[in-house]
Amino acid sequence: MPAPVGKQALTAVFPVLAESGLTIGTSIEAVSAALCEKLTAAESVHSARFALLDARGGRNGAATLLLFATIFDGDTRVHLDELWSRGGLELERVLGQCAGWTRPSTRESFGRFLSAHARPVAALFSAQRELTVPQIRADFALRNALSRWLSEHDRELRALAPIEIVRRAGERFGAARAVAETLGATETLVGTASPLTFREWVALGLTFVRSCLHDLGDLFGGLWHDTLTSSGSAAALAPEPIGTSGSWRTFSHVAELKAGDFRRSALRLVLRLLDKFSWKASARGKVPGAEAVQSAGFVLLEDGRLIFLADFDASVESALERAAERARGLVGMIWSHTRGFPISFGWYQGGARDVAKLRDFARHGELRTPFRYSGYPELGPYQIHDNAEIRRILSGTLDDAVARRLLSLVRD
Amino acid sequence: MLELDDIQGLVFSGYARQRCARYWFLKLPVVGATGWLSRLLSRVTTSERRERASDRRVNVALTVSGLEALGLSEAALLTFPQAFLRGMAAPERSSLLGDQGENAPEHWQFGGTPAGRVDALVVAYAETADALDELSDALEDDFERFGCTAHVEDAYLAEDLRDHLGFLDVRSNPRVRGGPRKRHKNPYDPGVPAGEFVLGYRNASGHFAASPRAPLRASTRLMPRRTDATRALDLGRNGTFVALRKLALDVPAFWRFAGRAALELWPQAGSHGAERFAETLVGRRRDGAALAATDALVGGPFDARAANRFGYRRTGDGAGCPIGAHVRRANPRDSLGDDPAESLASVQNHRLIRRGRLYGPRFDPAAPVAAERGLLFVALCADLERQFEFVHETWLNHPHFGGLTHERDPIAGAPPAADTTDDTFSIQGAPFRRQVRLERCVRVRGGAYFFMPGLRALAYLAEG
Ligand code: HEM
Repeated sequence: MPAPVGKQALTAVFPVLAESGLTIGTSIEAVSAALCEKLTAAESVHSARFALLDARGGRNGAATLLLFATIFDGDTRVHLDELWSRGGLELERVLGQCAGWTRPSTRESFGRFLSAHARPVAALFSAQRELTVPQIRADFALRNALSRWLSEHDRELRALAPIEIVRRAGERFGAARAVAETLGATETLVGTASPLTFREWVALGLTFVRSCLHDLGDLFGGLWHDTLTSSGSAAALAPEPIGTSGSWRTFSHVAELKAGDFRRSALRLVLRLLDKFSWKASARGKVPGAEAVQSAGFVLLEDGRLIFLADFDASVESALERAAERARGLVGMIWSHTRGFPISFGWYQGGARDVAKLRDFARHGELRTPFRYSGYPELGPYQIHDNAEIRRILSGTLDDAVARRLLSLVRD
Repeated sequence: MLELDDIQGLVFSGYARQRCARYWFLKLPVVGATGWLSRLLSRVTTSERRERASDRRVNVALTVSGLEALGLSEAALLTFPQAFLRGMAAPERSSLLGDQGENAPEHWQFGGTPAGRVDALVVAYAETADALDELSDALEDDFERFGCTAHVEDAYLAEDLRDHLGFLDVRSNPRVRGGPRKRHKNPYDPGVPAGEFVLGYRNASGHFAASPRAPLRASTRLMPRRTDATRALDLGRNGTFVALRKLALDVPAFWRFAGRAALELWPQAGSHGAERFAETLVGRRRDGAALAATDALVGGPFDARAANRFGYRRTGDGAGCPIGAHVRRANPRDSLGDDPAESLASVQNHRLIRRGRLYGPRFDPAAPVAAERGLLFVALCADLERQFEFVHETWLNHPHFGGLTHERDPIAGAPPAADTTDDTFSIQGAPFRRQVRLERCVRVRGGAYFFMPGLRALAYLAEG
């Protein structure tokens, strides 16, 4: 499956050396500020994170696994080179604590190391559509300059007709527009996803029926407890990490698959089909019902765990609520195959409807994420799309309605 | 059916007749806390109608340390929700609520540091100052007798029901379905099930909010109900969570700022400019009418029944009521997303019952008195995270609320970090929005999360 509209995801999982298992989190935090600063200059990187999870007695006797994930534009090779040339020093400090890292390290050995540990990312969604990092930043700068100009010339502009104000803005911001246009030339074309084939529909139907049977088993097992206990139990919660400042939130989550081959194959099928859905959603720039999501994707580990990585422009609480309200079928389709998910039946019944239990499930599986980076932390998908529209209007043909639209987009 | 005789009175009544109030933020003694609570029990007001015969009201709520002092086991404590266990001053709570810089818990008068620890909150209400003093004497005798120490705050509802800025308290609290008070139907306030505010009842999503449990024990007293297969007691039933914040408002500074801003925005407005500006920030006229309902700032008599019968959709671009105005952020009604009905339904998951009162003397520009004044903000809800914290994080303090890019609530929002200069407020309208730089006049001076148990749960706790 080609990546949606030019966006790519790199996710690699490394076993941490036994002696670094307890300290790696702190060493990531120590390089975090420097790495963020250096990545700001990397034009391909939309977002990046390090997360830690326990290794379940995995390879090399490691107790901890380190996950490194990025969302980027363009060619993987170029992306790896850019990561190394910008943040090589910091990345080496962290990755040097993982099994298999060789010294002296070079651009090539870094590339090989990451490629060797990379895992396929399923159902990658990105809200940025065709927009590149420099484009998003240029659009934001243009919007801010326009907003400032409106404030500074408030009195004189207010006396003019909207179309005249926007015409003057066009003249004024010609230079900024040119920057945006040049970068706009690199935009990738939006592709179209092929619809589900008949066989895929049948497979999905059969999986649904079998899921119901398996859910029934779970239901009987958990019925007594579930119906009589109120939702939510703090005792199960992992200590909550302190949220990042601003409105951008990173969420890294792990859930263990329920026993049995069926759950694994069902999840594989669901993720494969979700690929098509996320392609369409990426082309539209939003997941219906979860408009604050910047990016999301899944990684199925060979030890039977499902990793979910997302960035969104909202509180965790509101993202969960939106998921429970608008996408509970989808949420059930995926996580009802994992342990700890609120008891559900047939992907839609129960499960995510109980927001308090869904919150417990989300918090319980939340991974410590000692490093997180966004190429544009002050922006959400809504702002990014509005700013792109401002640029388009400024460089397009004007009429009164379009001019009014542009002025109404500068809400603050 | 709600068990009104077990639910504390503050849940369903703001005690509007009892204008005078006193709040004690107590440190409980190492030994004897249960004795004190047993004594207090008979004074606690419930939500039952017959209670209204008396003119005095007393309610009580506890923090985690208070429950500990009363001997609740660690296992039972761990069944409380995380936000409550961590407390309002925990760093991650501060980042959700925006309590940074000078609003950070380390500067609070109570609740923010170990020295300012609060174990319990006792609130007393009476119709006159004398009656309140009398009631206080009785309560304080017991505090003294059992070794409780207190930080005391006096609070009140003004005769004219106006706040420090002159806004009428329109009591835009949610309509509780099945609650003891009948309210008129209102399409913009579809009503919320009692489970949104009282534990043990179904909430808006048809589920039960997380409720703490405690071990079963032999007792002659009436016990809270049992819960489930774990054979525990439902300690949460008929209880509610309380978020209290002491918010100081620098009234003279606010009016100076409002005057300057008004002059910049509407040079012709004259002496009413500052008031008009204040109304724009709040989103209501000072007489209570909603800006979104009236469209114009002046004219049109105030209609109490219409005061909450409005949505923002009609003025979607913020022309009637700015997108970032305080009441719009605190209760966005139909304005979120593309679908008004969906917005209204979603907003009902985040409602709060507000029981705040003023403290400090009202400011009179003719005879100014320098004193700290403000609001003892009290919100009741069944789920602190989904309701109280959500309102702060997702609405009041979210820079992207309603499609904005960087602004926060102009009244109750957290100021941005000191190194940014973009603390502005925008008033949308044709041909384009107007913008003013904000001056923050509200400061957080204290706060805590409490649990206000039902009467039977209180009796259980009093047995130690
Ligand atoms: C000193 C700080 C504050 C001041 C001066 C203030 C002032 C006001 C005023 C004048 C109103 C309109 C009148 C009314 O509905 O009674 C109002 C409404 C409201 N405020 Fe505040 N407020 C403050 C802090 C807060 C905080 C911290 C919250 C946090 C949740 C909050 C939540 C609300 C809500 C929910 C409404 C009702 C909105 C509606 O239903 O339309 N306020 N406030």
